[in-house]
Amino acid sequence: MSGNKRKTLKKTPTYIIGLDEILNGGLPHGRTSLIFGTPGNGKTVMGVEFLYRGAINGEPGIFLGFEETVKTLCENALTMGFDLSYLKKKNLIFLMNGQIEPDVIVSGKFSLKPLLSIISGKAKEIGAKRIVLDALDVVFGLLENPIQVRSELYQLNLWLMKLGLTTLITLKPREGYPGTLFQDYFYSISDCVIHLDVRQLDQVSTRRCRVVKYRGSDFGRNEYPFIITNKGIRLIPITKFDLRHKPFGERISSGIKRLDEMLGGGYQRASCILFAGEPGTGKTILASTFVTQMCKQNERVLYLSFEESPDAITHNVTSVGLNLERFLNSGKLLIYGTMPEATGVEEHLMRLFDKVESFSPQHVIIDAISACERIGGKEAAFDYLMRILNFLKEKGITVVLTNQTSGRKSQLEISGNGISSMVDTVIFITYVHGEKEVNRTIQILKARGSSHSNKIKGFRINDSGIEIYDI
Amino acid sequence: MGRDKLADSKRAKKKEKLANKTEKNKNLLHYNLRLFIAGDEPNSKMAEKTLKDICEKYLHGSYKLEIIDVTKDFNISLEEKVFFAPTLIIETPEFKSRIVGSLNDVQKLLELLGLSETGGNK
Repeated sequence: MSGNKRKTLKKTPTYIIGLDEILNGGLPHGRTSLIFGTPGNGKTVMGVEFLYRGAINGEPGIFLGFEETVKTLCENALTMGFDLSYLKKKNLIFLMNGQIEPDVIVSGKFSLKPLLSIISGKAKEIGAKRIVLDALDVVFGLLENPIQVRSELYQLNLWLMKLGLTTLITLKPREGYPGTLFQDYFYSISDCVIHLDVRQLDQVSTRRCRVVKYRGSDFGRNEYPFIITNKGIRLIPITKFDLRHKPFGERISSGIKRLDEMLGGGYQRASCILFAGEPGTGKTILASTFVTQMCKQNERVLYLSFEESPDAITHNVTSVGLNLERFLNSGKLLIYGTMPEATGVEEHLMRLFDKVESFSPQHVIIDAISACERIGGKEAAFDYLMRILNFLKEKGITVVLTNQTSGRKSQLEISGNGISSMVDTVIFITYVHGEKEVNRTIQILKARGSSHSNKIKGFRINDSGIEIYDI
Repeated sequence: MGRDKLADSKRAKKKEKLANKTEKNKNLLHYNLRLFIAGDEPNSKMAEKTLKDICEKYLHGSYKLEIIDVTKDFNISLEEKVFFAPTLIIETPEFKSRIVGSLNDVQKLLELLGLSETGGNK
């Protein structure tokens, strides 16, 4: 997007969710790209998906695998819903098993001519536009010396370009070469290089994808986490914050008149509101009051609970006169309870995204973000929340977060997990210890883009709900 | 690394087996040789010459040699999974083996054909 005057590079979309976004449209058309990573990082999957999605979008492709057999490849692809055998029958894909027999004897120099002849023969036969050369390190490892590797690789690249194929090579690091010499040769012929890796962080492993090079094109430069789902690879770019966020909408009632007054008219639609406070101060009740208000107005609310089960939530709030059950029944409210520990960041994200897509709520409650650290540490919690907030803000959905604090009124802790830049309004509830009693107070610490009360008010919960009073 | 070891031990076994066989059947052994070449690439030319020399000198007519140019028909290379040129596929009633490269190591080739004069020594 760098306003260049010269002709922009033609791209071949991968059709992999999220990947084309960070590649600014796809892989360089008619050129060679490289996926580099150690075994088990998802290189083959990415290659297969590139071909599969290409084929179903009218671009036939060739898969040449030097490690897996065609049979296991088809079986593995089918677990993601990619029916390669069908495409093969339709001549939209050609799969070749290039496993090299372990007892092959090498004596002297050789070229890859037969391989090239097969590629061009088959490419013409099925009208291939794409090719994946999977585990090419196996082939090039047979060559006697680095000079041969370089010259054969050069020949290969030239050949593929002449055929007009958009090429994706997958490669593992190879031992026996000084430093990174082996992969450096592959880098030099590739216009685009993608690194994949898997990292273990606080018992949760995350796959990451990073574009390290893209000749003639801009690209997303961060590391992007991804998962392999039963529908293939999913990758969500986490940058581009604020770019596509919807502006705030009109005022909507919190469900409490006095609170609306303090806020200068209520919450703002499509903003992000945080309720911070110690355990038992009434954050969930404050959230449920808002839920009730919205559902009464016939709007849909998705309630994501990390702490309590849906039953527990609906039951607990009946004691203050709130009846969420009827909204559950009328389909206005969906409560989704999940344990943070149940899975990693990516899976949690996907589940929420799927829920949002299918339920299309106008408002989302996340109770409580302090539990998110249990997904896999502080970094994971941050990652998770940033991406959720970004996603919801892009859709113009109002977000209510609750955050449990330990009592000390530190600004950092209140806003929670370093996401304060994404939070528009902060409401803080705390205990005030008097001589004979403990009271609660409520105050607005921040309200972006609006005037608000700076007064501290009393906050009381009785069997008909929340009451706010002057002190 | 594991692959090399495996190949080595396999090779050693094969050699042992061959050593016994060739003693008796030296002249009866029938070699079916197919050399895949890539046009007139130097490595292919070199392999072809070396192979022809060896055939004449050692195999005394008990062989069939076929030279296949992969640039003319890719289907044969596809069928036989020949990705490199030159590739020599040796078939006898006893074994099948394949050797990739310009055949610059004549001794190695002789060993493979079971004609090694040095016997068990590498």
